[in-house]
Amino acid sequence: MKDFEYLDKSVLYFDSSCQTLRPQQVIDAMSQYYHEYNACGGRVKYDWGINVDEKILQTKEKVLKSLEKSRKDYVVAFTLNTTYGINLILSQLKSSVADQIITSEIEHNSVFLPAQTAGKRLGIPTRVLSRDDRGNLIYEKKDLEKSVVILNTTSNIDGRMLGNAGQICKDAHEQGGLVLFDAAQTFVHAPQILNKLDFDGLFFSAHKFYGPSLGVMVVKKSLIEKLEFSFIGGGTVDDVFEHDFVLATEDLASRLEPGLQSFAQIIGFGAALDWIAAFKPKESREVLSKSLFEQVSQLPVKLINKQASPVLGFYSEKIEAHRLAIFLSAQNAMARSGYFCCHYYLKNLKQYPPLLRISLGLHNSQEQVDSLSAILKSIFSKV
Amino acid sequence: MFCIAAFIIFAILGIFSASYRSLAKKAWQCVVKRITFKPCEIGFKEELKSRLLSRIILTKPRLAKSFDRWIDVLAFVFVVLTIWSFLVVLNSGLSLLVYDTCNPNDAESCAFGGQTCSIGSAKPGFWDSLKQGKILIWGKDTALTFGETVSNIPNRFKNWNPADYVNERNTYYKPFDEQKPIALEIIDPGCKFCAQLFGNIKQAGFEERYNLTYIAYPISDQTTGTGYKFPHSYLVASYLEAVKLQPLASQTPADWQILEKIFTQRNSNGLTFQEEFNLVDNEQQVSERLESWLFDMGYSADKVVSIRLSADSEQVKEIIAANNRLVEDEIETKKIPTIMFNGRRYDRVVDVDKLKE
Repeated sequence: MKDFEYLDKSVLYFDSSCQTLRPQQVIDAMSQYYHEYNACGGRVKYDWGINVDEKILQTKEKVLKSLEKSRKDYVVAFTLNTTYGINLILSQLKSSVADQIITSEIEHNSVFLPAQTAGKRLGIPTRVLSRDDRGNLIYEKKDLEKSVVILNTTSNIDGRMLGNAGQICKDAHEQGGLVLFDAAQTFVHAPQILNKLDFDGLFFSAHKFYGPSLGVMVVKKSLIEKLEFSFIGGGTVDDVFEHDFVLATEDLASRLEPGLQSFAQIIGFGAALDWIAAFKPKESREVLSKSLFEQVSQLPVKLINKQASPVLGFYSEKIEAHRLAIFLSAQNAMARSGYFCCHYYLKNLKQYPPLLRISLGLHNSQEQVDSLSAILKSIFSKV
Repeated sequence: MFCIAAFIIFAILGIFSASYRSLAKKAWQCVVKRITFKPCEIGFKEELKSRLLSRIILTKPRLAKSFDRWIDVLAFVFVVLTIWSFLVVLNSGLSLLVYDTCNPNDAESCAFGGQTCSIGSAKPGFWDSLKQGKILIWGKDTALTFGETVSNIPNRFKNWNPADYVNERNTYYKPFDEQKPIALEIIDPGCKFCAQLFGNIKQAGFEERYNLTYIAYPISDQTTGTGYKFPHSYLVASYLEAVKLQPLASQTPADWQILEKIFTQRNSNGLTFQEEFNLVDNEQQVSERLESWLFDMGYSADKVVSIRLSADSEQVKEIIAANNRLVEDEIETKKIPTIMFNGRRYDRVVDVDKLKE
């Protein structure tokens, strides 16, 4: 593919769920920042800095636009990654905000563990609810009473999606709760399902979206008022006194962005948003996902997926997943093995052995999917 | 065992390439867990195994399967062989330091031991012991030999004084001069390297600067018909000791004259007399040759007969036995020629330059 022309053609990269590859446009945007206006943004009067501020603002606008959210209600803040963003919110929630924390069994540790620690810190229970095979949360409305609900909108194990996310938002809000979504796997594959959601906080990573390593938070302004800030510093305040300070009031997002920001990464992410908006894939992701699902289904494996998805998890009794990943690597094919930071669900609840996960990205082609399947077939025929 | 094998391999590779050092470190952590009876990190073992197998799984699946099945056994064998090799190197290194040969039981087989005639031990080697089903005895002998080597380390650094090992029976190549230090050789008349040392001594004029004396030591070898490494060494040594008991009034003692002829002169066929004695002559011919030399030196017929009888006497046998005890138990040389001078001891042919120092 033209935008990934710099890649070695013999390499088969199937770990986009962890981190996507970067198109040339993103690399160029970052390179341009470093070469042409490498300055700090924020309260600066010289051209380079003003240019940086404009680019950052543009990126935030693009995020809100892609989610069809208004800057009247929401702010966009940047952080290290999804995990960091979730922790930043949960660890600063005021104790009066909720009586319980609700999460689900198929959460990534980036959700599951902050939910546990927040429950312990606030002295409230953390409840783990089940999800059905399609990804919907199984609950009754009263389960969400005065809750902080934190869930993924797409599983990183098998790509199942939170189909009843809209209803959850409605029910939780009616019950006086808050809804936080881990959209790390959704923002890239199915951003449209996020558009109509009335969430209080949404977290994802630019590096799963063809951008640089960067965490993104889209937070309702009302939620920011429910935080008791303890992780603060440069850029988060309007004024400072001997024993007190005044938090930033004009730009609420800055309260969530202590310290110097990753300017090149934010600018690179802006370029990634532009790139994906204009991207016209040769084969649709649905077609590739279906093809992968069908070809892998022919192998002696146990699929975790019930349906085709850009993320495919499986294990085999013929060969252990880590070994299979190493064998694939020897053939220049890269796929992740293990529990993908979902230890509770995969290892302890379902008691699965380590899995192999194949995750598709926009750089992948039908030819690559076929090559990977052929390699897998060859390995399985010889072990 | 796999982790230990991996540690050995990566530690060695790590000397040459930093990329293997982290693997060596991981393997070492695994080894420590083994030593402390904790479970080894399965992930590390499996990953290494898988990486090895990944190179052959598609091209040689049968080999990969066998390798996968037997890799722990292979690792065990590798570790045993490595430890064995390490011990052999340690033992050989110590032997080289102490005895100037990496194999005291067969000095000639050691390339670092210089030109020497080995004083072999009667102890069978590993493979012979294995064939005879006496591997435990071999292990015990090896351990004892190693212990002996370790206990002899101080000998290597001691000041060797030849005067401590000579007595009134010793003769000197040149008339004894109290102003000169003593140099002592231990030689077997049949050993070609003893002849070579003698040649170097002459070339360096060594005998002019030292009171040069010797101990004749016929190297025993139970695998030969005569019981000696060189067939007539004992006979020649007997004559040398007998001649010493009936000295000739000459500037160069008769026994030294005999040695000089054996080491330096040739017969009508172009062979040195040492070669003739070792390869051609029988016992009677050697006796006749020695006695003809005695006549030539000036011994009367009666004296020659007397020397012949003395050479076969209990007295001479006792003298040779005493010499052997001195060489084996006190000097503890494992190969000859041995020469002591200037406080040092050399168990090899010493070159001319060294002898000139």
